[in-house]
Amino acid sequence: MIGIIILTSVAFILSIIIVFSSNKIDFVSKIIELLPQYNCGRCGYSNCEDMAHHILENKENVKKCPFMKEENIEKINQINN
Amino acid sequence: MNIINIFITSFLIENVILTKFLGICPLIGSSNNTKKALGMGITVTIVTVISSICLYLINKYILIPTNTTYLITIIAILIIASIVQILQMIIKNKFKNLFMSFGIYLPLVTTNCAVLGTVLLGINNNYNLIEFLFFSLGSSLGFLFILYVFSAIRMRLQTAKTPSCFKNYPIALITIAIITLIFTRYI
Repeated sequence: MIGIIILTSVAFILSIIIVFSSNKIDFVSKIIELLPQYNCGRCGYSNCEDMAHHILENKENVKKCPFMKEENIEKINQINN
Repeated sequence: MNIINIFITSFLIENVILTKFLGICPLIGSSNNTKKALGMGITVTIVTVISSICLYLINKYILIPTNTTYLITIIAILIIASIVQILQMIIKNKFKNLFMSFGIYLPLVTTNCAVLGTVLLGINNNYNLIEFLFFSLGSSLGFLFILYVFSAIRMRLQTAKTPSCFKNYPIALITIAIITLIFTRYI
């Protein structure tokens, strides 16, 4: 019984740490979710994931995507800041 | 003095790859390029050192007082998996090219037996925290060193004339066998 309690509590603490750190670190996945997901290549990069990396490097790259909605641009700018 | 002994022993004399034969999968899989090998070795080093510290503290302050040391393997796997997850996020966001070149081998650090073997052997040897730290650092740096040397040899082998039946993996396995013989001083 005590083994089960220890194992679940350790797993619970570790999962909290992972979720917390993913909110702090993982900006690329958040930006990919806000992109249109067409993978069309109109921005000049090979796909939306590649585009997300370049947006992190330079904010101005958001404007290269012709399908972006205004609200998503604001959200991405918030993440970048 | 004892600490230096432990470090040298785990680094060269009882090297993870050459004498314990742990971590052969990433050795074969990610050694066709020296940059990739260096990245993989550094990742394994960071994961091993952090997880060994965490596991030592959990073992000493939670598992031994409650007499549940049989849980050590599964908790080791949990800790290693979560550290690899966090490290994967950092590499994905900061070192994009390295992330692309790793491919499947980055999540596979979770099941890398060099990490799990080092951590569990250190627990079994009853080291204190500093000794354990140097043991895990020595083992993982030994892994990094052999991985780097081996990848440099393999890059040279790609341009060498090998018989067609020995190309790629067979010649790599023969090479690692010869390196083992040299380092364990049978020659």
